Amino acid sequence: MHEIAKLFESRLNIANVGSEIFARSLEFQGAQVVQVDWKIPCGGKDELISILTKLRTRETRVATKGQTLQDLIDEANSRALEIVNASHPTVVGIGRALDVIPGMETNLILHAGPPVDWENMCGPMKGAVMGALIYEGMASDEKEAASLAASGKIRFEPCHHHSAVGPMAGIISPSMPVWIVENKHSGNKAYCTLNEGLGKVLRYGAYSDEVIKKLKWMEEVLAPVLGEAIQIHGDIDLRTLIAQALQMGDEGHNRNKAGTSLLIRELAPAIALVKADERTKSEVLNFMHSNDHFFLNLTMPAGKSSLDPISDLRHCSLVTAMARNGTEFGIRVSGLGDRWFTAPAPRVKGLYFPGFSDEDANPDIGDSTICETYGIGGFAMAGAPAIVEFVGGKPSDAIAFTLSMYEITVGESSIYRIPLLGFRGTPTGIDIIKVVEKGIVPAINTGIAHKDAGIGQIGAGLVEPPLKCFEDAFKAFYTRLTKEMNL
Amino acid sequence: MRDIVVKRSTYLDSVTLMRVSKEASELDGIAGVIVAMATDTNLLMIKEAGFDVESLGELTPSDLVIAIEAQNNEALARAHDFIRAETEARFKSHGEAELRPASLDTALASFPEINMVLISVPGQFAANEAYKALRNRRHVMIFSDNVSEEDEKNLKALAQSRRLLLMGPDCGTAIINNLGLGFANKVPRGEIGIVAASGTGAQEVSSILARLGLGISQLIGTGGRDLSGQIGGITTRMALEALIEDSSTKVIVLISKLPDEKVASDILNLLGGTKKPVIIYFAGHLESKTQANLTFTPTLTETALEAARAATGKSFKSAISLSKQDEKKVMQLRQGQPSSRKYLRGLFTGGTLAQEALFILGSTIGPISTNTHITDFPALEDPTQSIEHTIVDLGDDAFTRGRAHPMIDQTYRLRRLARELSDATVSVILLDVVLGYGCNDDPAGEIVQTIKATIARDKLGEGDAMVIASICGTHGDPQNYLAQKEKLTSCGVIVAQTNALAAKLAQRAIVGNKNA
Repeated sequence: MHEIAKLFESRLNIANVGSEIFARSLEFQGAQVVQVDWKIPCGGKDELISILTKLRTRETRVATKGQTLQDLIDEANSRALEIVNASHPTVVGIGRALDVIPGMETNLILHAGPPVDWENMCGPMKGAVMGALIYEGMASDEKEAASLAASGKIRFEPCHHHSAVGPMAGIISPSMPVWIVENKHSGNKAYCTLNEGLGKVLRYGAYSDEVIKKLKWMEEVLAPVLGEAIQIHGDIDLRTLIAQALQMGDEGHNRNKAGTSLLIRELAPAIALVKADERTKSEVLNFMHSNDHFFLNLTMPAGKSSLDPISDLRHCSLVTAMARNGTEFGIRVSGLGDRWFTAPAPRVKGLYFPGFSDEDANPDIGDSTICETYGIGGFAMAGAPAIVEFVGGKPSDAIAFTLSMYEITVGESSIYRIPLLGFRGTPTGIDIIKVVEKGIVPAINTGIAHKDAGIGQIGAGLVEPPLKCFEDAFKAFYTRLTKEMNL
Repeated sequence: MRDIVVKRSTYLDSVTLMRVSKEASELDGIAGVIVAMATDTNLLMIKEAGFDVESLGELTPSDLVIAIEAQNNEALARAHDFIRAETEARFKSHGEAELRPASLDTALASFPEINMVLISVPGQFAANEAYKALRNRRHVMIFSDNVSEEDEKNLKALAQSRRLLLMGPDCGTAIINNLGLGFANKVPRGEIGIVAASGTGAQEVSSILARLGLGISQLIGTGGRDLSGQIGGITTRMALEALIEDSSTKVIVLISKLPDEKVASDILNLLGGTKKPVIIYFAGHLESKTQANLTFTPTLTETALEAARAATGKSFKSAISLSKQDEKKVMQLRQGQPSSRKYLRGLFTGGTLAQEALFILGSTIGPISTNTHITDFPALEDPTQSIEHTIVDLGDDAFTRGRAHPMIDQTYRLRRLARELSDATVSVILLDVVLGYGCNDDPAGEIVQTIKATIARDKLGEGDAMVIASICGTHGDPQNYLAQKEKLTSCGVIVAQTNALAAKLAQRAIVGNKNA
């Protein structure tokens, strides 16, 4: 039957976008009306609105008649979402960065976020670089380390350029042990260091003797024990662990209590069988036990390994990485390949540990936003209501955060689900077009680093990425699209 | 003291702002409040009210301007508090996890049963929303005007390829399955199907039919530009095809301004292919004629009468005609006016009603200036200033950018009415009073209040301007036809049965004067 004839025979159900007078008068007539909470798109910016309208009304002229640019993008985006949902991150072992990370070299130091040179690094990142040089034996003290870092003999590159991710400063130096996570669906791998715990730690820019001593212990004791335990246990299915943790009150970024406990439960029987003395094995278990964030360094490479397969899909407008180096916030978009779109790193709004305040805080830092890019972290807050206390919120705020993220994602996770939302999948696949249209930026949970090297974490909270990164990427995306389509 | 501030990148619906402005103006110690989006029209209005708009710097239409005239600082602060509470209450309700989707795509995904999307956001944003609806295979009505022709063309092509109904842009009225969308009157269900490029034209015809006891099968709006050469009548064609196919529709009515020649011949070809009688009102096509199943009519009133005859086989001409009594009263009032009172002033909220009046009056009373874009009549350079005989459409883009339509918000018309009443050269003021869903709750009441206040202020009486009105509405409308009529007649307004008859009465008055 003709669509219009069908309409004449159906009950009219209306969505009202605009004046509420019309919704009220329809309700008065007994009709079903859904009032949409409309807002001006693109913050009212003419240039962006004009691109948006063109995406949605212009025909591609190459394919099926009536196909618009947006249709083309939607196809690419749903393919990308399928790939992310099919991804199967799995821990396959622990290795030395120099041996396993592609392109790693003896004079190369990897860092969090988009590219940044030594001069422009923030305090905590500089501290972490110096610590890493001392740890590697390339410098004997702070002064020597700083001049070596500035000498040009050391190269700095983002973790993201080497299939790796790092929390906070995200420093990976050649001798550091790293988790090896393989995406069993696409076959690619991702890497991340082992989490050092809280207090004075390298990732927050600390480089004192005790920091270096701990890193050495991790390299010489922790990594071999865990590596052997994984061999005994076999691959660890991260997808299942994360899915369970999310149903136990974690969101996988700022809260990892459940994930860490599940990992210990998974590995403990195998650790017991490792050839090492009892005391050492107890130390290893206790190290994991005393660090609620131990599992963070696994959710991150799980995200990275699941997103890398969509890092360069034609016409795909999904974000493949969000990362901060403490100076800048940067994003990458699938259809734009490895280009970074950056803006100054924002401040984190949150709760400080006693004795600290806004003034002590470093701008937002770390690769851990890969969690939100992957559809967990801030996006799964509805399942981790304890987190909202960092911003003095209520559990209902946590739900609102997750619900609003459905506005900017192309779909839902088929694996990670939230009991409170009727086991709805977490919002997954951040679409720059939706972000720009609605002016809603990804909700990110994160830790706050002290601006001076070596002091460490001073709080935690929520951070709003700069909209400018998304707007710039949106314009570049449209330019590239029209060029490719010869429009 | 006058205070003006801007809240950047804030959007609030014009109807909400109208309410907030009105309520804030009524606070103690407040002389006036305008809360409005920073569109050119609104800024002009705020400037005219004596506020220093320039002090705000560069403004865009997505900025909210708050202009307050207060007697003292305390009152000013109270007004600001009130406005903040009223505008932020809206934002607060967003946060609650209530049934209010934050965007159209979310609404459509969450409610698969939605089959029609009604869009009334500011014009430059309407195409984007319409596109989302069409992509998601929903029918659309775009109430908004100020949508570009290019966007309209693209959207209609998309709708056509997906066989979806796209009513508008600038579609004021539709009745689908007996539910009124936008501005629409309460009419019974019946056998007459209407396709209309004009909202008030459709309201006038459907209301007259309803008052005659006849009903509507469907009333499909197309938007004013649909039958232009650029758009090519895409929606009109789809709507007519649907009504030709529709077994509940026995008679078809087509209402439009004079279409593009080629488009008209396409449409008439299509209509020639059905056996159903078709009544056609092309505004400005002044001769009545019948060709096979097609009947052309010169006025909306005759369109309704012809449709009624085609549907029932009976003539209703005697039920709707100029009342001798009204005629007599008009002539009497006219004779009481001094010869210096010469001019007609038409203040219309319905564009098609304004045009119908113009076509009926034609050149019989001398040149009439207007903003209705009809080339036969001199164009008003400034539609806010009347020149001799003047008919203005207050629903024209120039008046509605960034404000609610005058069928909802009569503020400007009432101010203008007071001005015309006090003008010593004015003989007749002609008004349309449009009722129905979506319209002002009590348009007649507001008009009466203004008339009474002006009479009291200027000590008007015998020999002053007369007011002739028609009510476009039905007995079932929420405002109630009879109650509205009662209010108008009680303060001396002469109420004709239809807009065409009101125009004819006005003509008698002015011409009668010349003869005298």
